[in-house]
Amino acid sequence: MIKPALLSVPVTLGNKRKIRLGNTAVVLGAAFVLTAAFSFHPYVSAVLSRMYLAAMMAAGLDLCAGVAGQLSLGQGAFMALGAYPAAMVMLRCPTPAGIAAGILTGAAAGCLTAFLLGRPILRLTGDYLSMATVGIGEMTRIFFENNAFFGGSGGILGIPRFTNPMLCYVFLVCSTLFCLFMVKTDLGLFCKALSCDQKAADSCGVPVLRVKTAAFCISGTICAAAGALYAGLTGYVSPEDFTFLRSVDIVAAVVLGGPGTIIGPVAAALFLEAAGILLQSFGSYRMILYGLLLVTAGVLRYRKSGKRL
Amino acid sequence: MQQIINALASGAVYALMALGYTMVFGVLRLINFAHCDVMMAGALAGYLCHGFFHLNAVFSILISMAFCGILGVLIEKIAYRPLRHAPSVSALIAAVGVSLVLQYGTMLLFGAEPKAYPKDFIGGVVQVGTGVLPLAKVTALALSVLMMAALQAFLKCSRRGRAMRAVACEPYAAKLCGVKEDGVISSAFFIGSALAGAAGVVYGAMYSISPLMGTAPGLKAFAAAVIGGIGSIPGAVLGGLVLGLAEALASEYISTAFKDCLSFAFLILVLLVRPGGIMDTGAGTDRT
Repeated sequence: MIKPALLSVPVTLGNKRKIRLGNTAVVLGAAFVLTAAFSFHPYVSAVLSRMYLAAMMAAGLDLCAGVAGQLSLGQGAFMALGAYPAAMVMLRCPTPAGIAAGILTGAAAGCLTAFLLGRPILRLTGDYLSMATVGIGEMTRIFFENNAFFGGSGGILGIPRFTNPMLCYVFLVCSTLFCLFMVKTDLGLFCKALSCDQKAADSCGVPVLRVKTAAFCISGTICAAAGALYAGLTGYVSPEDFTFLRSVDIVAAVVLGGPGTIIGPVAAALFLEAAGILLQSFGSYRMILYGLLLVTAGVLRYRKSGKRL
Repeated sequence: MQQIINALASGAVYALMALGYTMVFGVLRLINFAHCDVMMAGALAGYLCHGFFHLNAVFSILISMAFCGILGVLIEKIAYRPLRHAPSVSALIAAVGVSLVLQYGTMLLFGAEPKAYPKDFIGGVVQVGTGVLPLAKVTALALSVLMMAALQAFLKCSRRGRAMRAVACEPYAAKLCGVKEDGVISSAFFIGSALAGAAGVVYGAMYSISPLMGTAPGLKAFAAAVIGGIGSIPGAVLGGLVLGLAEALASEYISTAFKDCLSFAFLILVLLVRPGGIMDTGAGTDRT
């Protein structure tokens, strides 16, 4: 059997395989302008950092959920798996080298867990996979909540606050371009194939489990890196940051932004995160409005689409 | 023996809610994440019935069930019906949106502090064998078995019930046979949400009521529905009881702190070994 090289980019298919940077450039360019303008404003820079991290996770999840069709409702788990190890490392060496090591540790932890958990779980399809990922998300959160080594329900405090908008922006750009590149390689092609019809893809020789695992690992690693950066944003991590709602926030960004186009979820995540934060001025109405926003956006976007019975 | 009944009682609450999840999944292939907040609304409704209108337990439960049923139908009409022909992820997001609105709306209207049912609500104890159990827990158990039996009878014998099974099995063919999809789906939501209301009242009587109380038992109930076989009514009850037992065993023999973690590990184990759950109906395998 011919083993396909997942990362090869055939040169013969012309336009279709070039990365079209139109929308991407607009969104990332606008983000750059915002970053440059507000980097030193304390409140806005925190908001921008959060937005970019959410967008980064949305890009990663889109590769897995949008392009490959593997809906993972447990991305909060990967955030936690990135944040906690990173926090442990950064607490012990609060130097720039230590911070870099922390981010790497977090990302590695996310990748490893995605691989180990993904292998058995990705054999499931459709709703069962989503259910399993919900289980993973909750398990991870409860694990960190009840573990005294990781600070229990109080979490870990005192992490060096190194995250600034420019750093997050760089990570966002890297993740987005990486995911866009991945979509254009053979891996992306196989992901699209198996999201359309897994059995047909399998019968054409697509190594289904390997492709799914690769997509899952990539999205897990990106989420974990974002988690590590989150740790540096507020200086503390607590299990409350990684609830099911957080996972759903990212999924909402993917769904509302247009699954499959990496930049759509990025833009949607930027918007949703900004909306979530800006709604804070409404005090107790904030979450109600956010919920209404989700419902309305979903209805407006998808009302006319879908299969006609 | 007492431990077992305790475990079964908490499992019974999961079972009642799991029935709602399973019914909605059966007809719509949608995981209704707002279901747990309907349960919370039910708990609150029961609390108000008892506290302000001074109704006794039976009436409180009945009124709470009716209220939740109507709430469920409203939610379906507003948030899910426009998305019925859209990719189901969008309905998932809408469900979460509804969940947020319910949780924080309740927080706004009734405040965030936990409330407790007064002791005389479903108070008192019952002699079971050698042990003594709170009546609330026995009620939970009895209710869920009763509801399951009633639901099975409804689905097998009544016209609307048969229509519901038809839609769950094959919606297009059901439409060709003259089944009105809208009515059936509304009925499914009404019944499921009413059961959640009952679950809420009983859960509130066992523990306490707060706006965010639904999330934790909700996810467990969802796990229970999956373990028992999503789409199957007896499966939901079985799954709830099995999960309750598994939790009790885990907390007894492995660790109390990690019992929630182990519940979800159990869920994943079941999914890996037998994704259809105990009563595999094949409901979750349509989309690849």
